[in-house]
Parts: sequence; structure tokens; C-alpha cells
Amino acid sequence: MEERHLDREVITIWRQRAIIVNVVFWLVITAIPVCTALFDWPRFFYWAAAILGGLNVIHLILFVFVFPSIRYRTFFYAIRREDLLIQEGIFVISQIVIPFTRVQNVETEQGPLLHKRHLTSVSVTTAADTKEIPALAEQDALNLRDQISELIKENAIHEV
Amino acid sequence: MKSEGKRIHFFSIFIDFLNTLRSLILPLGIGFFLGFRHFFDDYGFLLLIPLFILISDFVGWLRTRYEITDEHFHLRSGVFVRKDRYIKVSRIQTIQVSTNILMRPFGLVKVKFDTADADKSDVVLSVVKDEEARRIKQLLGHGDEQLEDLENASAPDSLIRPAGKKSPNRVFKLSGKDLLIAALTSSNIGVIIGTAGAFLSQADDIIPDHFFNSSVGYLAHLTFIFIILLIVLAALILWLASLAVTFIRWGGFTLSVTDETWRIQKGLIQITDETYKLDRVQAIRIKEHWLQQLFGLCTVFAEAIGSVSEDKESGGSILVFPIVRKKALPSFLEAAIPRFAGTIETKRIPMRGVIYALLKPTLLLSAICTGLTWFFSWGKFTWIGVPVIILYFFFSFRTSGFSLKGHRIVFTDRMLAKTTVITLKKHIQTFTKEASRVQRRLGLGCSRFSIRSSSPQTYENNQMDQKDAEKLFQWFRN
Repeated sequence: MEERHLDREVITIWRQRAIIVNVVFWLVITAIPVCTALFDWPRFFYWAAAILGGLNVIHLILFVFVFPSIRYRTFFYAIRREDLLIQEGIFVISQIVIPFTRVQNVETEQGPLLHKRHLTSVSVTTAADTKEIPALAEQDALNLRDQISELIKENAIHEV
Repeated sequence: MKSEGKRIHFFSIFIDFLNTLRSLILPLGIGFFLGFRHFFDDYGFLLLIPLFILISDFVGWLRTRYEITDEHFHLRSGVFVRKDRYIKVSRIQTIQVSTNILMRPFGLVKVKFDTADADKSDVVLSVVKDEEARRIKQLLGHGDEQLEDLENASAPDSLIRPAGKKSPNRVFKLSGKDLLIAALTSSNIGVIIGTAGAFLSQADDIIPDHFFNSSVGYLAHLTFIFIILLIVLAALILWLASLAVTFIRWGGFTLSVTDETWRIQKGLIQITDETYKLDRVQAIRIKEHWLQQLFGLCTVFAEAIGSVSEDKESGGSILVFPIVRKKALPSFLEAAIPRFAGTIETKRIPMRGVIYALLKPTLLLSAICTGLTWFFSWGKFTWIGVPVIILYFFFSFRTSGFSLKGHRIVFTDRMLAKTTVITLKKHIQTFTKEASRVQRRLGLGCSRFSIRSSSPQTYENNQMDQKDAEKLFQWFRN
């Protein structure tokens, strides 16, 4: 069984996404003291803003500097004859098995961040849930998609 | 217009009308109450709304037709935008025939059926004649009577299915005694308290202020004991109401089992008659409340693809039978759905798992109590509750377990009610194994599987032995 990993660039993408979210949070958080000063809201709001700001710094540290590399290290997927195995997690490591007979569709998706780095995400949907492989090189993703859809055909879905 | 197919019964206009009115009046009604004085001056035109609804229902009825051909059920509807739905007869999973107090005197019923496609809504024929419903069921292969008077129906030859309809193998009827037990141990009381609470919060708006003031003033004069008596009385009334609700909902509960289908009939006022295909059942769920457990009883549910059940309590799953004695459960399953039958004894999770699981609630409770003690003088007394709650959690976690035999897997756990899920390998969609660093060090792990139902369901077993988790994982992969 061959363990396949994500493209290394995914760490950068996770960081970029976290930074975008973080910046949005900062905008909201700075709006609080500004409004408090302008509209005479109770002083209590300064404290709230300070606490939120602190939390946001923690968010920045964790999601930009700590988590992406851990997530990259723990993540792998493996294609076996009849199923797809995905391992992921940061503190809690989980392994999920999706038999190809249960797969309903395979989907590739590419947002602007992924597009810039020529990466694509692949998600696999069963009747119960959807699992995503976050970033693969474009060609790898297409190959994987074709491979899975080929395997789905081989393991012809019996209608249950 | 060329007349193709049949119309649903004329009466449906009024039923639809009443339903729309009811759904309009409930939210609007309170608003009307408040502005009632100026109602006819300012909002008199609102009285025209029912007229519009009636007209639109009439046109909608005019434009709705259905027909059943050899392979398809064909429904055409829509006033401006015409909708044509073709549904393969073989794809229809469930048929529900229901009637209520309004329709019953006229021998009218509502027919509803569901396909495996979760995205599309159910198909509803809101009012048809009883005989017509029976004919539809027959044509869709869910009937249970002989095809006799169908020779003169629209497309005669191909209709008669080779698989002759047999009489049911087993019929389970909910006896009066069991119904009483079900009512006594049911959890409906929670629902009723919720409704009563919602009503009381609304009552604030409805009851005039002066009345409220005087009645509260009156209450203040009563002695403390009398108020307690009132509360007890209220609880008693609620409980009686819950009894009544259970009687009405589950009265006449009958489960008829054939080789391929379940036919479930229930209700005293709103009578429903549902037919399910057995091969659509994905899992059996057995639920025991504390009270039920005390008397050795349980309730049996089934998770199936495309169920039409509206039972809120069961969350979209099929209520197979409300009360089964724990002792009789194996034989009940054997008769009702053999492929899920077998023992439901499970191997419990290890003690270190229970203790590890307790860690989280203990820390959380301690934090809350510390906070309360810090800020309030009465806070220190909350510590008395902590051991009680921890003990409760201890027994809850102690219930968890699993059992694996051949292709059949059983998971048991408890939050409020003890729930046992039985499913087969072929019904499991995905399987997950999970462990945190601490869990790995303690040799613990989680297992989780998801199955397909009217909404996807996930069942998990936390803090099981790591070896067992690995065993289950490998079992699913091979």
C-alpha cells in the first residue's frame, strides 16, 4: 500500500487562508473600540475587544505557524484495490476508509489560491458524507479522479 | 386540453386551503390580537387573502394530474410553470397512506411516497378516494390484496406482477396493556412541557395586563404549600396529556411482516398506513429510556433509505414497534427482519476508557462550580451536585460497547437513552478510526461508521480498546 502525500505547497495555502480569516477578524475587532468611542457604548466593550484581540493573536500563531505543518505531516491517502484510505488530523489522528462501491461521485475543485499554484482539491462523496483531499498537483488530481471513477465503474455499484 | 391521467379528489382543494390557512393564522394570529381594534378599518382587505388562496388551490387542483403506466408514475402539476415528474415504479421505496378526522368520514385518504433520491421532495397526492389509494398501492407493487378488479383499469395486462401478494408472515399488534405501558414510559412528557412553556410565554401577550396583574396578586396571597400543590397538579395534567398523546399516536399500532415488506399501521385520529421495502433498511436502532430499562422494555426503530415518517421523536427513522420486551427482542428481530437478528450483548469499553472519558465532564463541571463559588455566596453548594452528575456519566459511559460477528456489527452507547445500533458491513458507507495522542498512550481509540438513511447517520464508540478499534477497522477493510 503506497502512502501518498499532499503537495508541499499546501502549507502555504493553509497559511494564506488562515491569514485572510485572521485579517477579517481584525477588521471586526477594531470596529468594536471605534464604535465604542464614537457612539458612547459602555466601557465594557473595550475589554471585550481586548480579549477578542488576544484570542485572535493565538489563532494567528496556531493556524499560521503551528497547525499547517502538523496537518501536512499527518495527512496521507492511499488507494487500495477496493477502497480509499485517508488519514488526517492535528491532535486527534483519524483514518477513514471509503470503499469504492460506496462512492457516488468524485469532484475536483480549484479556488483562486489553489489556481495560482496549479493545485486542485479532490473530494469524494458517498451517500453519507464527503471527504476531501485538500491539494494535489493539477495533473495528479485529474489522474486520481479518473482512477477513482474507473474503480467505481469496475466495482459496479449495486443498487441498495 | 387532452385529458390524460386522473385528477386527485376535488376535496383536496378544501384540505389544501385549510392547511394553508392554518399555517398562516398561527404566526399571524397573535399579531391580529394586538391590533384587533383597528383591524377592520386598516386591514379589512386582508380578508380577501383566503379567497385568493381558495382560487389558487382550485386552479392548482385543475392542473394536477397523475397516471401510472407500466414503468412510471407520472405526475403533472404547477399553475404557471408546468412540472412533469416521472418516477420509476421500481424506485419507489415507501408508500404512506394516511387519513385524519376531516377526511375519514368521506372515505378519503392522503397518499405519499418517497424515492431513494434524498434531494427531491416526497410525492404527495393530498386527497384521493380510499379505493383509488388501494389501486395505486397495488399498481406500485406495494399492495397486499389480490388484484381482482384491475382488469378494467387503464393498462391491464402488464399490471399483474408475477410476485403474487402473500398474506403477511407475522402480524404484531400493540396490545392495550402494552399501549398503556408505552404511554406510561414514553418520553412525550418532555415535548408537552416544551409546548406548554411556549404557550405560556405567548400567553403573556394574549392575556390582558389587568387580568394578569390581578391574578398574580392573587397568587402572592397563597401559601407556599398551595403553590407547590398547583405545580404538582400541573405536572399531573401534563403527564395525563402525554398519556393521551401517546394513546392517539400509537393506538392500534400494527406491524405486518411479509418477506419483502413491512406494513405499519398506527394512530387513532390521524391514521397512517405505511409500507416499507425491507431491503431498504440500513440499520436497526433499539432505544431504552431509563424507565423502560427498569421494566426490561425497549423501542425498535429502523433507519431506511427514503422513509416518509414525520415522527419528530424518531428523527426521520421508522418506528418499527413502540414496546418490545427485552427478552422477546431476539425472536422479534428474527421474525421482523432476519438479517439483523442475533445477540445484542456487547463487549464493554475498558475501565481506563471510562475514566478517561470522565475527565472532560469533571474538568468542565469543576470549572463551572469554581466560577460560581467565586462569584456567588451560594456557589459552594453546587459542588454537592458534581459527584451525582459524574456518577451519572460514569454509568452512561459504562454502557458503551460493541460486538462483531460475521458481517454484523453492534454499537451501544447512552446519553439519555441507551441506544443500540445493529447494522451490516454492506450497509456501512464509511468507517473511521480515530485516536488522540493521550488516547494512543492509554491504548484507546474511537470507531465511527456512517450509514445512509433519510438523513445520513453516524454512530460512534469512543474510548474502546485500541486493539478492538484496529480490529473493527480491518474488518471493514477486508
